[in-house]
Amino acid sequence: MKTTRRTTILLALVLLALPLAAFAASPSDAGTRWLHVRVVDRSDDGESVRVNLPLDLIASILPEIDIEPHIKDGRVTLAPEQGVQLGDLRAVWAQLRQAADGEYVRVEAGDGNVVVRKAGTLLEIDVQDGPEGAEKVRVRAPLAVLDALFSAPEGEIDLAAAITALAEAGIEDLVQVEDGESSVRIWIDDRPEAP
Amino acid sequence: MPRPRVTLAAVLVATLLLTAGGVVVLAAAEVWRAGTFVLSVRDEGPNGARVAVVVPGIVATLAAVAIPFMLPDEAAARIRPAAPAMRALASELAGLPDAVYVAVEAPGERVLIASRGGVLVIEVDDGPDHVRLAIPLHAARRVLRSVAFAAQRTR
Repeated sequence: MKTTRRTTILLALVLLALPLAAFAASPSDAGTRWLHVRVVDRSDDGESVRVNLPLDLIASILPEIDIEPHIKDGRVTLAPEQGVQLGDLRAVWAQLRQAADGEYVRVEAGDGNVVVRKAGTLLEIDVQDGPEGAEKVRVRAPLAVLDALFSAPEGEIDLAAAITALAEAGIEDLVQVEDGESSVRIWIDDRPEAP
Repeated sequence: MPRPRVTLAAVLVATLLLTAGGVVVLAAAEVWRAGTFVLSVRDEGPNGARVAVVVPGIVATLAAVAIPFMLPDEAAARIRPAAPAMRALASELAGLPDAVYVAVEAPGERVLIASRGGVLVIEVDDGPDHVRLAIPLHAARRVLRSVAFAAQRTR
């Protein structure tokens, strides 16, 4: 008799909790990674651009965009006549991917220099140009993202796969460009920009 | 009647009442959640004018039902390639947190796309012209889905 009563009370509690739980359920955005782009032009008539998009949103929509013959299934087709020799790039990347960590390109000329190095999970590109290196470009590209980008069939790059890989990469700063009068920064973090 | 059965019966009645009450609350919440569409256009020039339109968001929900029957074939054919992307965007819209998505600022010009309290806000300032558009995300989601469905239908 005691067991029956306990079971009844338990069943009663479950029945009462069910509708409450159903009404209380709400979507959560915990863990969402955001892609941020900042462009600041400090000249008199300069403009500033701020773009903040959840990587999940980009990853969901990209595969659905169909702009024949350029974008389909999240992949972008780059024809040689567009000035991009994708085959050569892919071959260079395949060689670099297999190589050990280290500095692969260093160009020092006049008041500028270029350094390309592979360090751990990143491909690092640093460019300095102009008097006292006033123009600077700093790129940190996760190798997994480049792998994903070049995983598409010949003549294409897989942008959707690259975005997915980017969301999983534990990196923040991707691109920083500074030329004295303007700056560009592209980075990823877990924070939206508050309205 | 043994006591456990009485308890169970009482709980069943309470559950039914709670569920029914929940449905009523949800229906009311739906009307509230649909919010209002706001379109405001202001021209501060010499012959400036101001137009503001406020429409209950529930109208969009009703319009979403009618779109598949009203969208002309020609328009459907044009929208068709974008329909899968619209459907994907509609799925993501509901979960968008409050944030600034795009902001462009230049002397005398400004564009802002943001989400505030479940409302997609689009603001464009171009010299003396100011346009403000506020669309409840849930209503926008319904309309997007409905347009995508209408575009992909075959007659």
